[in-house]
Amino acid sequence: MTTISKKVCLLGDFAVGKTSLIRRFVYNRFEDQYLSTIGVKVSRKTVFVPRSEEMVELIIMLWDLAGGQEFDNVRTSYLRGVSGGVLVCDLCRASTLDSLPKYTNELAHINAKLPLVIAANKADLLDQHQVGIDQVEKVASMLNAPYYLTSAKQGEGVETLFRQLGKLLIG
Amino acid sequence: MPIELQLAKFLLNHHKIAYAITDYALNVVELGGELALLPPIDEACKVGNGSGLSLFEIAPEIIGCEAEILSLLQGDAPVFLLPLVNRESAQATLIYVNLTCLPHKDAAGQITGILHIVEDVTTHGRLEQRLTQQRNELSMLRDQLGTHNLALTAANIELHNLDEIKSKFVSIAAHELRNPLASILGYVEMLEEDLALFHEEHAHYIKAIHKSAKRVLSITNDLLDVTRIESGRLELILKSTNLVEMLEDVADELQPQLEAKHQSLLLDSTPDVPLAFCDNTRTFQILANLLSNAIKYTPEEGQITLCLDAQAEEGFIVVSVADTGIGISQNDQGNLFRSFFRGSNTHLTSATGAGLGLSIAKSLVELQGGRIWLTSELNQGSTFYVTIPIDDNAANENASDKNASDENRTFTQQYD
Repeated sequence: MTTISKKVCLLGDFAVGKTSLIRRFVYNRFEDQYLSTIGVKVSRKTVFVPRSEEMVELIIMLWDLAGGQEFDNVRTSYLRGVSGGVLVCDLCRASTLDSLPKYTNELAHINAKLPLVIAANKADLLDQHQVGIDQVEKVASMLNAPYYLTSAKQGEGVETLFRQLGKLLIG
Repeated sequence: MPIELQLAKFLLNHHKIAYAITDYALNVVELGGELALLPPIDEACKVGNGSGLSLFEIAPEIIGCEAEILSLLQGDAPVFLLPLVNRESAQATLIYVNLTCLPHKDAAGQITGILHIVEDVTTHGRLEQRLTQQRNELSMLRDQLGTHNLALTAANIELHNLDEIKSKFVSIAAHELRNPLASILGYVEMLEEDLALFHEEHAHYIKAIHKSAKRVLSITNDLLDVTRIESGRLELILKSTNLVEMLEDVADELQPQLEAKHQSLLLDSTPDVPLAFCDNTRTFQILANLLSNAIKYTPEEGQITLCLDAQAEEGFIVVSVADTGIGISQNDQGNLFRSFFRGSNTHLTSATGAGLGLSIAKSLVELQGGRIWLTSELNQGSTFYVTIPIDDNAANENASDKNASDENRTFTQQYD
């Protein structure tokens, strides 16, 4: 079996749920309390992804990067060597969807052909949504990235999101 | 001991720093310093100077940065930094470390591997985390406030539109009621002129119709006033006005009601009341409303006092209407000037009303630049105060005349 290791960065505005998505995917846990991430937290998760006629053992190094403008400068130093990106927005805050092209540009400076996926997070908070699926679709189409409705709280869409990215990484 | 070595020893002893030296194949050959800063690794490996470990095991964050490490080994880059890396300590608490990778050279200056340094910056990291957290939470609160503000603005516009529709409806309805009412009143007044022609019982009916029609007309007029005030369409004609004369006129107009309840009215005034600057019709309306209320809520044979005071408040004449009626509770006083509000104890009297008079009076007083308030105690009576602006021009013109006059009289008149 082939073993491949890839660095994946999660990018998005603060409080969109990047840390929670990783915690759900890696530890299958969720914490309601919001704790801002500063710097970077690296987690590891191994998944098995089919490729041609074999299964590939893919070690995903998940880089949880601080969101927000204050970290725009330092973020670039964390992006070196990145193989794929997860762009995260919060369906309850329209401005976080508007920010995704900015993060895509940051990744494009490293590698213009990076596999990207969009996580439209907090899908469970239906009554607070400010963003419609059509708006997410529009941005996803513009950034040429598939999107997934996710809920780190309930787990909806999280596994699918990372598995799809895994396929893109080894494809 | 060379200074560099002394410095290195000092840093290692006084700062929380861990380090690892690797060979060219990135296998650890030496570990030192504060090993608790490293991720959980085999204790035996720590004791054994890290032999058997690779750089990526003691610094998994470097996985994916192989190209940068290769640049260091090839001498193409001097340093590779990863600041503020989040790690979990052995006590499961979050710690922050700065990771640094440098080319490690032998005595001959040849690169033999990597010198990896882990520096504990948890104190700094926690402060920065707290600041970031507060900044982010504030930012989210600001966004939420903005969203709520937008919703409130939209709701406000909607309410404003509904209010306009209501005002239009009330205005149209009141106008449509007034015309037939005028006709009813006209015919009833004609009938009243020949009341002697009617049977006593029918004459009583005619009087009752007249009284009710006048009351409906009064309510429609009040409703029209409310809609005019609310829509800002009420026009005031401000001019010099003698309030003493106006109070006498008001008293004359309400004399029949006073007589019906055998009440006495005292008109009192400080000397030399200057002319006021107000709308005659609307000021008359305000004062008549206050006096009418005083009559309504004062028992038979009670006393009412109208007072003009030109010295209590600079630039204004204070008119007060004091009764010896049922009084108004503290709770009711706060709501008294709201439209359609009626005091909780009004049922104790036979007084009727739609609860618009004081609301209109307040608006009219304020539109003229004055204010209205009251003092009251249950069963002790109430006093309503209104301020009406003094006509400054007239006051200046009259000042010399008044100085020449040697008679500063206090105006007092008794109605019984």
